[in-house]
Amino acid sequence: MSQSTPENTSVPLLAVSQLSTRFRTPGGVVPAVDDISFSLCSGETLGIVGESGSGKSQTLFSIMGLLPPTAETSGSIRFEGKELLGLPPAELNKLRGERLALVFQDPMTALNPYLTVERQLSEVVQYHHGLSRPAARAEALTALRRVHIPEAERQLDRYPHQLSGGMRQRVVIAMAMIANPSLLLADEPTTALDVTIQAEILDLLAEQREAGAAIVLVTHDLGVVARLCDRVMVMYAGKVVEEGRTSDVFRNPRHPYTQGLLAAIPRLDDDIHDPRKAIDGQPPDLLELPPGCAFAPRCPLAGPDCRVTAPVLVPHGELGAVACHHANPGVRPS
Amino acid sequence: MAVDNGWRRLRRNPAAMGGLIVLGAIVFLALLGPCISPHAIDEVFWDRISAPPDFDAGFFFGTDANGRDLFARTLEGARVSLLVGVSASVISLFIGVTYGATAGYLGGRIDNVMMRIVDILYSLPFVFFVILLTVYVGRSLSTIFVTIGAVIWLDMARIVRGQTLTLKQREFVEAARSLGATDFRILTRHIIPNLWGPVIISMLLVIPDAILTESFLSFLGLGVQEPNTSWGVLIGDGAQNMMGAPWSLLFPGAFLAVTLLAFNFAGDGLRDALDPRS
Amino acid sequence: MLSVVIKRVVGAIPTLFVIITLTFLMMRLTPGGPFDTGRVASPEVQANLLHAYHLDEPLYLQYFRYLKDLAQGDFGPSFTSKDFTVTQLIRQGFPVSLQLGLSAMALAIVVGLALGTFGALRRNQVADHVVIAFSLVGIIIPNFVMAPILTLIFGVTLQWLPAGGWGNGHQLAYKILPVIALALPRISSIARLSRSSMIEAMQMPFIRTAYAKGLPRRLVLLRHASRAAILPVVSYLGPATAGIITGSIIVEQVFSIPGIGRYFVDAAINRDYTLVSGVVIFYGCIIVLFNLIVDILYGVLDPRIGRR
Repeated sequence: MSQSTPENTSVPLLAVSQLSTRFRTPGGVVPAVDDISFSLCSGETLGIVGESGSGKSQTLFSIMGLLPPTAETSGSIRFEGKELLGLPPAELNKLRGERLALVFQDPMTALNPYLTVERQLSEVVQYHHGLSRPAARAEALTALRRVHIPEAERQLDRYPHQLSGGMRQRVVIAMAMIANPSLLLADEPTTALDVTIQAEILDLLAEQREAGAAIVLVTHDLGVVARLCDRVMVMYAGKVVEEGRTSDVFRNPRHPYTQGLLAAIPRLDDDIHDPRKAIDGQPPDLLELPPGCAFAPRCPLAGPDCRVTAPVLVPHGELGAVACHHANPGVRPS
Repeated sequence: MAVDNGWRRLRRNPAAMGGLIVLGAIVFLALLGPCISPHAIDEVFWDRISAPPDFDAGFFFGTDANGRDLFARTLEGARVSLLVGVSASVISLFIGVTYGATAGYLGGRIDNVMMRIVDILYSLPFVFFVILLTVYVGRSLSTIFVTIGAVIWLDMARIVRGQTLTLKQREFVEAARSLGATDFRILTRHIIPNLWGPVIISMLLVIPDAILTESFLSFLGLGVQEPNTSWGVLIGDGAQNMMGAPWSLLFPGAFLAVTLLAFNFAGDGLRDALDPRS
Repeated sequence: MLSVVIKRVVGAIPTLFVIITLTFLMMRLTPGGPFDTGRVASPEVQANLLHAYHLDEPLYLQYFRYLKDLAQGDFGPSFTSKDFTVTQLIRQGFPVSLQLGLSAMALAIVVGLALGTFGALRRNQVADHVVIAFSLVGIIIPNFVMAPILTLIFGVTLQWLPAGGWGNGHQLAYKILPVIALALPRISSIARLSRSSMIEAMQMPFIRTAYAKGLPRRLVLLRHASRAAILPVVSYLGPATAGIITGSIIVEQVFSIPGIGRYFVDAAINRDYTLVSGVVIFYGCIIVLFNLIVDILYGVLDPRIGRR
């Protein structure tokens, strides 16, 4: 696992600071992403973990500029030294698919059912690199081979519905990687797939990282993070509650939510009657967030202070940070 | 509770409420036509052939090419058009509910065959069959609404069948069956009475269809015959007479358009209110 | 692909038979024959007439005779226009009706799609509301009101265009008003339909994929959304054909255009059994044919249907 850190490079590839994304809905304003900051260097892999609704996917869509018109974004997203927020659509289009690319969660719906695999792959390089149709087709073939699609030549002229789920996700990854982007954003790339295929797709992402791309991987599966990511960021109700090196966070989770997530990973030596298995309760309604810590209603450690003031993210050690009034000071919970 | 919710949703929909109010007003005018209009529908005023509207003399919409009061005739047309619309949709209700409920309840192969027949009939140019029927059977008011009703039950049959398919899985049907009720009894006592929601919606969609078909036929001279009248007859006469008397086309035309618009809004609103999923 | 075509063609056959059989049964089983239209004829003459038209044969023989004649393109003689056969009348009127119908259909598709897409792209803005209002007008003002009003405004009052007639068949001016009058309700329906299907298509997940690839909005629309959006419009073309044919009867009547529709109305008023039945069967075939073309077109546009 490469252990490059921000100190190694002067300018990070991606620097997100104080990013907030709110959705206007009939019921009120939903703070989907609330004041989050992080940065990423070339070749680095960051995992973003959280339950559904924690804002992890919306963070990716904010970076890609793919939010619906009902969304308002504030803060700053600098990519390769360029501010993405407020960038004119034409400028943004030059970057999307070329320098930064997104792998979608559900390969069943992410591909256009009416166009062949070849058409959907080659239009990326046709548009960004001005390639002719035959040249783009050759690129598409290379891209398919890079993601180890069997009989790549034959798959080019097929339609998405003629491919299996795993094959489609490979096509989606090939589509994201075809123009050699420097940043790959992956939104739960394995959730919709069988377990056996999940492993293959993860290997594939690891290969893309070896080829030099930085990856932001959104997942609710901590196993995936442990396998692939240098650093991990845990989100809850739109906020970052803990971050740090993957090995540090896994060895010594400080936030009770992270502890709960880690405890929920099934292990072979589990005691089935362990009461600590899953986190009780439901993620909060973003329209009616409690004052203080959003996790307090579900937190085993919550005290009166937690229900009054929201904890801020406090750095600790190298790269670590946690937002909790009762954060574990550094001993492994047992 | 579902009904209350539906009613509340309907009342919060201004377009639907507007449509219902306009429909009410038109029904009111149609029923009270003879009392409201100062002139009889067939009284001929020789000194007023194709005369423009004259409020002082009580000719609100002017007169037609035969010197008859258009206001009275438009209201009479409303009576006939609404009558045809309602009767035809009642006939289509009987055929559609019987057919659809039978197909849905029996299910399986019988259902397949019955719905395939509906599909085939659906692709036929049904107006032509109405014309064909009026040619063979002869043109009277009752033929017209029977023939229109006989061809526009297809939507009703489809909707009722779908609804029956879900109803027959419900506990009360199971309960009735376990008590030994016959199929006929289950259909007539338990299934059909529970179909009213979608049936009312499709009635509201079928009535304007029937009115439009009747007007179409009457415009061509194939529908309602003199001395009876309907909006289609009036529009047809008005179209021939429009150079000298455009009002004879515009008033009945406007009544028809407003009625269709009102049915459109009321039907959409009712559908949204009773079926919030769509 | 070929198997799909064959399957559709075979599927269309029952519909054709239903049309022919229904028409035939209605013609033969309804009370009152074609010859008791008021003109008194002696029993011998009646019997001769019945014999001449094979009306004295058993029903099934008449049916097979009818089918055999139809297969040869023979719709029988017209009962009222003694000098013409039904086939001759259809052959005379059809080119005119076809030109009128196809022009109206083309206009409806082009303008309807343009309006619908325009409305969808400016959803909830003023332009969109104008499109919605326009499509409502086309639906609530039927052909037989719209056609005379158009004549009154542009033909009579403004005198920009001829108020009726078909000219010599090659004069564009005569065709403008009828084609517009015939197309308007279809424009409305297609605009309404394509607006909602475009809005739906733009919310498909694969549209977001296309944007994520960095494609400009224009390409996303033309290449990715339009394909999904056009399918509901394509399947509407079947009913639209029926609507155009029905409307053409009105338009031909209002503008005095010598198409099939005029013969049909005259025949219906005069209770010309064979001509009315012939035209119904003919129109039925056209509609079945168009539905067939639409089905096949749908199969071509949607790769999920019928290809392996």
